[in-house]
Amino acid sequence: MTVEFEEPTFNLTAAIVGWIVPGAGHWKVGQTARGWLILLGVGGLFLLGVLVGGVDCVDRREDGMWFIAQAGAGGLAFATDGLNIMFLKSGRVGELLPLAVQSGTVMVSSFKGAGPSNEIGTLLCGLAGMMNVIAVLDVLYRSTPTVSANSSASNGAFE
Amino acid sequence: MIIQLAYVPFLQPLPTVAQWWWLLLVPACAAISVIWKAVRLDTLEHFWREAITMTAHSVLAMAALAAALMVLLRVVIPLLATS
Repeated sequence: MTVEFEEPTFNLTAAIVGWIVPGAGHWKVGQTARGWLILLGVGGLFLLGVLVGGVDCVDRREDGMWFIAQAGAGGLAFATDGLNIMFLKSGRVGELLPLAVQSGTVMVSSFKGAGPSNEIGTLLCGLAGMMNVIAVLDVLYRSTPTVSANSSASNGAFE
Repeated sequence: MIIQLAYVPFLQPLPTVAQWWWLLLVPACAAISVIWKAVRLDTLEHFWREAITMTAHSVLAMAALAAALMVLLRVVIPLLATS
């Protein structure tokens, strides 16, 4: 099989799409299988983090530094943060309990995570975000493979 | 007394994770390997073999590091303290 690569181009749109939906940037440049694998990895890691720590492990306001890493997963991170605000912080799910802090009392959800589960969930979501940044940087300069006519199609190597 | 009637997945933190958190190393390494190999490999012909190999290497390296740290903390440092 003959596989030729075009000159690497600057795929800014693909990178933005890949940041919003992990793997979608690779779909856009014609590397569908690669895109699905990235979605499987980033989405799986992020979902594992949310499963372990609950939606509270993604919190743009309280864990701002962690959110910088988590935001690499794009839409997944912002959607989870939105769900956290919509369900837990509003008290729609669980109940809001008073918590004494140095500056007074704040209301926190009874579903709020604490301890190892919250830490590990936060870490896994942060890892997912950072891995998606690697995928986005990859698609930014990825050349599109073109398979010549004399090659046999679908050998699993390229899509 | 607070009684937890039911665990709600994705909304509440997973209970009892403190006892087996270290097992999460395996799916974390697997996911990282899948992403890394999806980005780095020129062809996806031997993708799963490469990803599984990288997962195994990462988990074994972490286990070796943990064992080395345990030896340092339980054997080497107590010896230094007594000498």
